[in-house]
Amino acid sequence: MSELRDRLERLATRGSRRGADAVLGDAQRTAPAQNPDTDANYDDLEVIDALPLVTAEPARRRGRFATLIAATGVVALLGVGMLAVTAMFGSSGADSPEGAVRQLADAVSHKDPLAAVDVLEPTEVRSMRETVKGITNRAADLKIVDSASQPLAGVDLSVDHLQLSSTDLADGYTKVTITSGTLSASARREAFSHLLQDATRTWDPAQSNGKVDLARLAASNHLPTFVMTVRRDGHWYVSPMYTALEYEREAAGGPPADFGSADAARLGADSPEQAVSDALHAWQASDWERLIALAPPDELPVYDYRAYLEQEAADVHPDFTIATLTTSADVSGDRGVVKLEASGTMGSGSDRGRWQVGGTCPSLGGYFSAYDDEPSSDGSSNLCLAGDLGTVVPMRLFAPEPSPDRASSGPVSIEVVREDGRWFVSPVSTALDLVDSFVAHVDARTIYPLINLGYLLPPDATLTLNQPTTLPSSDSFNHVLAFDGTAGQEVIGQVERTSGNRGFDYYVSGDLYTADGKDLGYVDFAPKGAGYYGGSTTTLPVTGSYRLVIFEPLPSDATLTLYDRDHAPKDLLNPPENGGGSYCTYSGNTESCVGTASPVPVPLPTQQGTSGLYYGDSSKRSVATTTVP
Amino acid sequence: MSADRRRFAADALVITGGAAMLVSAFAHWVSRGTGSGLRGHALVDAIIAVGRDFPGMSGARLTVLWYLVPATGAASWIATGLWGAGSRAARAIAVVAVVVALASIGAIGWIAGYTHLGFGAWLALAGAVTLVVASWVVAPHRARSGPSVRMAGRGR
Repeated sequence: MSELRDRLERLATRGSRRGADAVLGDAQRTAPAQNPDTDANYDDLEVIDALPLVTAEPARRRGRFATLIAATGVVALLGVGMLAVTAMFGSSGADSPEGAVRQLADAVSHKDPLAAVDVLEPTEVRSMRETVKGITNRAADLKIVDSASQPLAGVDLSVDHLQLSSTDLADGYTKVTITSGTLSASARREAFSHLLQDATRTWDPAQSNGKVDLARLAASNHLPTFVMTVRRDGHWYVSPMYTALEYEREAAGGPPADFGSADAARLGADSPEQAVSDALHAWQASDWERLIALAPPDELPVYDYRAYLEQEAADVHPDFTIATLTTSADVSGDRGVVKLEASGTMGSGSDRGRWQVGGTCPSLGGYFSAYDDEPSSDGSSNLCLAGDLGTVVPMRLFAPEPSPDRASSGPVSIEVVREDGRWFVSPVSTALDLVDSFVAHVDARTIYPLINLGYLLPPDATLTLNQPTTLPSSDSFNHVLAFDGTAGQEVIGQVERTSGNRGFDYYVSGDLYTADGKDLGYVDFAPKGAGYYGGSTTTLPVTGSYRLVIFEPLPSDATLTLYDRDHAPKDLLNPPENGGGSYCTYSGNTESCVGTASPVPVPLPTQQGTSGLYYGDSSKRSVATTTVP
Repeated sequence: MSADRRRFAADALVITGGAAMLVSAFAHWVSRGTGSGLRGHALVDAIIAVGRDFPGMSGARLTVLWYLVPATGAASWIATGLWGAGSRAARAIAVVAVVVALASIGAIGWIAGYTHLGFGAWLALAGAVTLVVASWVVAPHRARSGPSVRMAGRGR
């Protein structure tokens, strides 16, 4: 080894400084010349020129600069980690009450629901998020909006010149008053979904813009516009619940709220079942203090407002009894669902009836039958709620029942929540569950007629003029009927029941459209023998296919007939009020008629101005009063 | 370009790319509509609060994914400071940065709309691409550990 070392050291001192490859390459090239007599074979020594001669990177000595970069990176990484950790535990909200309101206003201006959520009270938002998500997704499914993530596309909002002042009502509770500011809104139809563009085709562009003075939103109640903010974990949030309750209290001049007084550990009930049972009994007994104590403080802060609420409810005494009540709970973590079945009586004297929750409620057709048989005379319930209320309750409010032929049955679900180990009834979650269910069931047949797009639905049946037609699934709402007409033809409708209480006058009105969606007004269908509409006909403007959209539910035994004027019954065109036709009364299935069936000429009515307006029950339209000579 | 200059340029690019990814956390990832009022981390926090998520990805996963964007930016600084921009660690981080940035942009874009992506998203992507360029293209390669001279025809 020492000999080799010596030779290498001598070699290293020769020539100029160069790399090992260069040294070895030169040595190979000069070796034959220096030793011509040797027969050494150098072929097995190959210089690999093809290999890149890469300058070896010297061992990196970490300088100050490199150390600084690394240290900065470590600090930055720690900062990112802290941000992530705080995100997991919630880092939303604002630094001040006014900051929260301004952030909310900014979110409105940007049409940014996410930014709004960021400053809304987290517990209140948590209960709403699935509902909002369901609504936007369903709207996208039904093509009401193009994208579930852009539900407000085409609507421009702007909050300007916002001036705020704040008043501390308690520690962590601040009322922020809007002293000035405007909210401007405008709509751009071209940015709507195609469906909404169709629905708003008759909009006047001048009416697409509006501006309101934010400071005077509650001026009718002689109140300033304000928003309640609450502090949670050091951050300020806008609380819709506190805002609503505070408005109610101030408008009524009630006693001030006892903010933050709800101690969940001392309220509520021991079990989910007891919470629901106690709530029903407290309601029945007008024990408002107990009922309020069963509302979850984090979700519905009515306990803070108990003084005002009890004062308001002092004279309210529900008139019902509880005969039976059974509950069963399905608990998952701090939330649960209580299945409730109960019944009893309500009202008194001639208004006395039965109520029922759970069990089996009749279908819509059953309700028509109940009418036929005089309600509750047979002991059936005047109020019946059962099964999935999302498919039942909205029907009686504003929208159709998706499965009208199916009777609802089963217990009613009540949401409960646990706070600090105690169980509370959650009215907000229960109501939102109902909305969720309704949204899940809602379909185009429910929504399209509400936005004047019923003509787009596939027709349920095709009417042939002058021939009665029975509709399929007649219990449901929102029927779409097709028929062919000719220009100038005058049409009028008649509805008849073939069984049940034929004397139960049932009026139907259908919105009339051309097949391509031009709104032509409406066609009334009068009960047979009671043409109360003065024989008014609707003239068809063109020859072609038409659509009739009927909102009202129809008894299963109803038949509709669309007549042209030439073939219409005389008593339909010339009803008894106008001096002609017969007038029939029904009792059960017995019919008795008075008057003559002979036609009496009807003079044309003359309009007496437009001052006296009559709101028709059937057509839902206002028409000028007329005097028949 | 000499190795020293390439090394310096690579370091500068890594610092720039890492900074871009860090800064993107405080920029607007959405330019208009839903989420446009929130900057980077606040946007992700709000997405979690409102419960919106990318299909197959929970809010927690989205949080982790998104926070990896600034984290990889910071990590690239650490790798460069310790081992150099051309080191294996820096190269691996650069690749991770691109994957994370693309995935985050995909998730946020799905929620807010890809046409509404804002400055923060593009800044993060630009930062990740810069890291790749710095580590894989500009930074000088290390010498191979194997010999540049070898015996040929052995065994003949």
